[in-house]
Amino acid sequence: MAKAIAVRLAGETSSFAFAKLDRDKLYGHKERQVVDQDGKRCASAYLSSDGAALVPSGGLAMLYVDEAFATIERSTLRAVDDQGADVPLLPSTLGVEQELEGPVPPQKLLDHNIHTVYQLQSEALGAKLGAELSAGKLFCAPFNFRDDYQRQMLFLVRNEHGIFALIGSARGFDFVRRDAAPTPVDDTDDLADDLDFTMM
Amino acid sequence: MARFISLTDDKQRDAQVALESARPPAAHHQAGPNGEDVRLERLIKTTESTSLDALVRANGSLEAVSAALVAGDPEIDLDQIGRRLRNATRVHLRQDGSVLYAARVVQVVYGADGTEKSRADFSDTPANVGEEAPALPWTGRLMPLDEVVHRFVCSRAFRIRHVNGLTFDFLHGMAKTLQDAGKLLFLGAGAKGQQPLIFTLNGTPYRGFLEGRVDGDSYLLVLHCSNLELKTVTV
Repeated sequence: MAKAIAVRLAGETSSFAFAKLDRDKLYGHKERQVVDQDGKRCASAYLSSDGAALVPSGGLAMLYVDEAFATIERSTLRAVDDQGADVPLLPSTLGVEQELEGPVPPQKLLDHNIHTVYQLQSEALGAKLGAELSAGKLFCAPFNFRDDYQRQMLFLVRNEHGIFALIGSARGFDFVRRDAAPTPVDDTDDLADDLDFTMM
Repeated sequence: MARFISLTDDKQRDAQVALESARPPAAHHQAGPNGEDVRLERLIKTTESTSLDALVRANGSLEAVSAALVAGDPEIDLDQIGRRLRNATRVHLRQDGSVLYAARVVQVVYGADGTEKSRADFSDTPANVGEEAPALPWTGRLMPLDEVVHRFVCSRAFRIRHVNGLTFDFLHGMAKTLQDAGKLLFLGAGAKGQQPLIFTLNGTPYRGFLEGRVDGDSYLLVLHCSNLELKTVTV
């Protein structure tokens, strides 16, 4: 059985089973398909630049190499910061009680890019937390689904449909002054690969 | 290249300003066991001629493929395996493994239950936000922050910033209006702002919510984008 999201507020422990909120299951989705003249679906592949290799889906291996093109085993890789110092691996928070911070203002949630949403099913809901969430208050706590080098933030939100956990990371937008430097050239455009395979 | 967006304020004045993505600095990167730099490479593992489908076609049956695998290494393309794949071209293959030269693209719509609802030839959906798109109107539809965060998941956001002194005043004023109201402005495309925002050709449609904050002579104007509501999936 999967571990629960466990939190603590004012000495009361709450725990939740969770399931990912899937956009496709909520709205359905659109899919672009390439078909041949008979209407049969075709598979995508890569053709090498010299035309010698036709590589089907799943036909590529991703591996790390060093300057001399020697393969580096993933298990020997180290996570380091800009100074070359090892970055500690942060353990998963699942099944481990996290102290809730809050109530937090809605601006704090808006300051995070939410990448995952879970529908929560309460296994044990503290009276204070239940009342605060029902009153529209927001709470947050550190979260990591699995061991990772970066800590995410979990926001607890309750509305008429249920309780949700919104997982995200801080955006880091700063205020802009009149004399701020012009927008730098952005060669890693966030929207460059924004292709829609879903429906609104 | 910087992106631009045209906005209209509550006085019905419009201006073109810059749109920036959040770029949080990478907290770490991968290094080798001795701290040496490493990079990720894409290497060819298998080719179409050595795929299971191709081997079945060549040998006639799975049983015959088994025998061929015992007798030799037909699944390994010794000329290609391990090659770096760079500047490759995306192609499509028919079910018999041959390359498709005249592709037809269809758009299939699936319902929430996974069943196919419709199928039609695909047609491009142009972007409606950007340098050449009309200015997004001031819809006047202000929504409390609490309502937005309890109803929508904002998975993407852009900072909007000035490109000159005039647009600094324009955006600072807009941010102050929103901060004083304590609300977010619902933002959409089209004459009445009712259409979703599409930032690139065939891009994901989003609902937009404009947030403004001011701090003395500085401002923060953020366009929050959502394509998901906080609703329960019932199976």
